[in-house]
Amino acid sequence: MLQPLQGRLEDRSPSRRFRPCFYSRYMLFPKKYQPIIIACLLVIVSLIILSYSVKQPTRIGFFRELILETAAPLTSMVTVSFQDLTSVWKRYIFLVGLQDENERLKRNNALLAQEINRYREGYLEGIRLQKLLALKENPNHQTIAARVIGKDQTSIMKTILIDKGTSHGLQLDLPVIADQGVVGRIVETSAHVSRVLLLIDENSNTDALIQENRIQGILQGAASLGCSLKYVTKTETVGVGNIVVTAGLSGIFPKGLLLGTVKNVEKTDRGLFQKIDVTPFVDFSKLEEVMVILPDKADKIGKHRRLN
Amino acid sequence: MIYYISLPFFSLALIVFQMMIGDIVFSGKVAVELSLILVIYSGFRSDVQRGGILSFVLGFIQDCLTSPLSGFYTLIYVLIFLISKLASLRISPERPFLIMSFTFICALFEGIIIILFYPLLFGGGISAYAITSHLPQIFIVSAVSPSLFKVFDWTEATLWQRITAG
Repeated sequence: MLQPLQGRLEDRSPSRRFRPCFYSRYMLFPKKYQPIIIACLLVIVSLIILSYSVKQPTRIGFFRELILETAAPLTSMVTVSFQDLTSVWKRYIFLVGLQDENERLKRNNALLAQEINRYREGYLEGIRLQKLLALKENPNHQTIAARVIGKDQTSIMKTILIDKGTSHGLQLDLPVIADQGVVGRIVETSAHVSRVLLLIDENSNTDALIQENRIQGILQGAASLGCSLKYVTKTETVGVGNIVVTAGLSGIFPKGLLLGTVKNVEKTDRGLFQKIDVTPFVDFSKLEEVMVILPDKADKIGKHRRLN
Repeated sequence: MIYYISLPFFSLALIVFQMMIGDIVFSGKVAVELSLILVIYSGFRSDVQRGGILSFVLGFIQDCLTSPLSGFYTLIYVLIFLISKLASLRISPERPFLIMSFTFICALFEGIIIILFYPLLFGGGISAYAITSHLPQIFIVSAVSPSLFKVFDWTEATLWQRITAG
């Protein structure tokens, strides 16, 4: 099919004949159209990848997994070296104000010890009441520690990469926590790397309740502003400083995990709900290690049965 | 051929490097998209085949490492490359102010595309704050672009010399 056409092109007079290039030989396109064809091809391929990704957001492609797996050791190496350097600087060199801080922490420690004692009393009382009411005991969740090996830099998508993946038992939608509180949930996972959607990402919605008065709402991410607690009616009383915890309704986060504190409450004339700003407990810019809460065996069996 | 073989490794290293800069210097709050400047640079200096494939690969790796969707940055980078290629017919890359202005426009274009299409594709919402917080990175990228153009020029010349000498 190609050879007769090629022959026809070469039979033309020298003035009208154009030089056969890669495209003219194999794709029957003259060289002057080559840039336009390449440009169109690149745009079309990009659109195909994008549409495939939008249609199947949970499926991680081979190339994507390959790149994530290749980048993980690189980012991990740089992050760990930088963290070690920072740690050396903070622990052994930059010690200004350490004594003041030490005294302040001692005072805080004394206050907190008293507070813990009160909570211990409350906890024991709770256990007694639980036994009386024969309520089901909360299971102790298994966790797995992971190191943060990359942070998403764009201002819109707030995600981090951690160095654990499916080979460590991680899967989609598992909750991720830090020592201060909830970090987010897993939205993408490969063999050794997982992406965590942070609580402050605007696509993050978490069922939450205010610890003091048990008012429920949805905690939505608000990027650098922190979070906002939505769907709390104006009739409810919410105070600045109230603690927001997970409600445990969606089945992703266990009940009672710390989310943040109420920073600001506004009751405008318009609308049914209050505008509640929440400051997360976790400082997302300083995250180094996190814990992933693994699903209980009972949950796994339940999910498997539901799927079947 | 060496160019196309080394392209994915080089692109991956660049994206990881820019992520590290953002992490270390700006605590992950602002991105310094060196890859965007490289895409614009290749629009001015490379042909469509080389520059287009470079933009495609850079965009794809950026997608894999920073975006939950594949193809989003790929498309944006390819479009910015094509715009730069068209602009190179009129704009001289030797004048720093023009480079800065053009990079600013491209970064703004990228920001607008993300803000307009991200909620449609990902199904979420974007607040006004997210839009304003995107501005510092546009300014940073456009401010460093003339220096990076020189760095890229120097790198290209050095590599070319080595290849021809070898």
